[in-house]
Amino acid sequence: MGLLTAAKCDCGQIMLPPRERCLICMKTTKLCKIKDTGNILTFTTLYATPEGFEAPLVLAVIKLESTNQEQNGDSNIKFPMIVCQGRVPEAKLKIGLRVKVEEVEERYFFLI
Amino acid sequence: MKNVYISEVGLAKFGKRDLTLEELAYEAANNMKDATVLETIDAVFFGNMSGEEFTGLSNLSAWVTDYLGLCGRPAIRIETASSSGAAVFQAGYRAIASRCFNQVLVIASEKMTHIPTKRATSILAKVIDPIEQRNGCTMTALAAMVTRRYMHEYGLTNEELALVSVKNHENGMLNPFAHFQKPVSLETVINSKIISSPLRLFDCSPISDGAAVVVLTSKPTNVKVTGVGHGTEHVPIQYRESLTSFSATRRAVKQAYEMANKKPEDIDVAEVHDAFTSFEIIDTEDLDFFKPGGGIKAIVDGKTRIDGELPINPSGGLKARGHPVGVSGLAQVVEITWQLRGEAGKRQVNGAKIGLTQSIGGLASNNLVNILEVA
Repeated sequence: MGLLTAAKCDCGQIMLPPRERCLICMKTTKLCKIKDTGNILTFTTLYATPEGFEAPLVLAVIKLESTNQEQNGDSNIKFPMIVCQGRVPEAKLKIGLRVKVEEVEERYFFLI
Repeated sequence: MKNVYISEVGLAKFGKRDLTLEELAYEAANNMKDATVLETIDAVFFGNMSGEEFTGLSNLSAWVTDYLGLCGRPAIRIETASSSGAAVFQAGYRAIASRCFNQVLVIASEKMTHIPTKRATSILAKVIDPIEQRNGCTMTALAAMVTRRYMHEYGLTNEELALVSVKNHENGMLNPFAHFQKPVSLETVINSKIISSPLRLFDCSPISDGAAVVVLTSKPTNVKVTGVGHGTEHVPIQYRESLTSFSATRRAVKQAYEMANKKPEDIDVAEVHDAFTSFEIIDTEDLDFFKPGGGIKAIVDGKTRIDGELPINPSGGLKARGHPVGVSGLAQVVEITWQLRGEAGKRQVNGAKIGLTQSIGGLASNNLVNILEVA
C-alpha cells in the first residue's frame, strides 16, 4: 500500500494536491499522508483532447478511500474525489471499481 | 428599488459567420425593431467570455461601444465564463434597479469559429480547475463524467438522452437565428461519433459565432424583470457534494423565485443551459421543475416540447441555436422576451406569461437565473 501527500484542514477536508489554505473554510492546513486507493465514481474516454494531449485519453473521477479515518481519530474527515488519467481501455472500467492512484508531478494516474 | 423593464431586443444570426466580434454586435443591435433607441442609451454593458483568446483584442467594451456609434457613454465588460450573457444582463438590471441609470444597452458578442477546434477546446477548458486541466481534462470530459454518473444514479439511457437533442433540433428548425435549422433523427444522434464517452457529437452544443442585445429601462413596457438570482460553486469538482446536481443553479433559482414570489409550477416557458444534452435534464431538476431523476420521464413523455406542459428551450437551446459562449445567457433573455410578447413565430408557446432563463458558467461554477413576466 502506498501513500499520497495531501493537506488536511481542522474542518476535516482533505485536499489533493496539498493546499496551504482550505478552500472550504480558508484555515491554514497541515500536510498529511493518505492511502493511495479509491473507487471509480465515473469515467470517460475523451477523443476531443486539448493541446498537449493525444486522443484517446481515459479519465476518471476517483473517490479516495476513507478507511483510515479511525487512525486519524477524526469522524468528520472528508476525502476528496479527484480527476485522474488512466492507461487502460474504458472497457475494463466500471463505476465502483477499486483502483490505485499514483502522483507524478501533480498529475494523477489510476491503475487497476 | 426601481422596477426594470425590457424594451428592445435583438440577435445576430448564430452560426459560422464571416464577421468580426464587433460586426456581430452591430448586426444584433441593428436587428432591434427600433434601433433609434441607441440614441438615448445611458451606458453600455458588454458581455463576452474569451475575446482576448479568440480574437486577440482586449478593451472590448470601449471598442464595441465605439463601433456602435455610442462613443462617450460609460462602457463596462462583464465575464463569468459561459454565463457571461446572463451576468451582463443582471449587471444592467442592477444598474437600473439602483437608479444609477435609466436606460442601458446590454450587449454580448463572441467570435469563435475562425480558429482550429483543438485550439478552441483548449481555450474553453481554461474555465476549469488548473489541476484538472493539467490531467488533460476539458469541459466536455467533465460533462461526460457528469453524464455517466447521472446514468448510473438514475438509469438514464443513451436513447432517452438523445431525445433532448432531437427535441432541440426540432425547435431550432423554427428559429431563423439558429445555427442549426435541420432536424436530426434518434438514430443519427445515437450513432454520431463519440466526443467523450458517453457523450456523442449530437449531445454537445456547437462552437458558434453570435451576438445578442437587450435594452433595459426604468420606463414601463410589456415585459418586466421580476426575479434575478446568481450563485457560485467550488471550481475544482474535488470539493463538491454532488456530480449530478449543480448547487450554483439551486442557489440562483432560490433567490429568483423568492424575489419574483413565484414557484416552479408558475413558469410557462424556460430557456436552460443545454451545453450538453444531459445538462438540460439536470437543469430542469435543479430548477425544481422535476424531482431528481424526474427530468428523464419529462423528456420521454414530451412534457418539455413546445406543445408540452412546460416547454424547455423553444429556441433550440444551446444545442441548436448554437453556443457563442459569452452570448448564450443573453440570447435566452431575448427568446423569453419574444415568447412573452407573442413574437416567437412558429415556435410560439401558447399563452406564455411567465418565463425563466438559466445559464451555467464553467462546469456549473457560476450560474444565473432570471425570471421575466408580462407586465
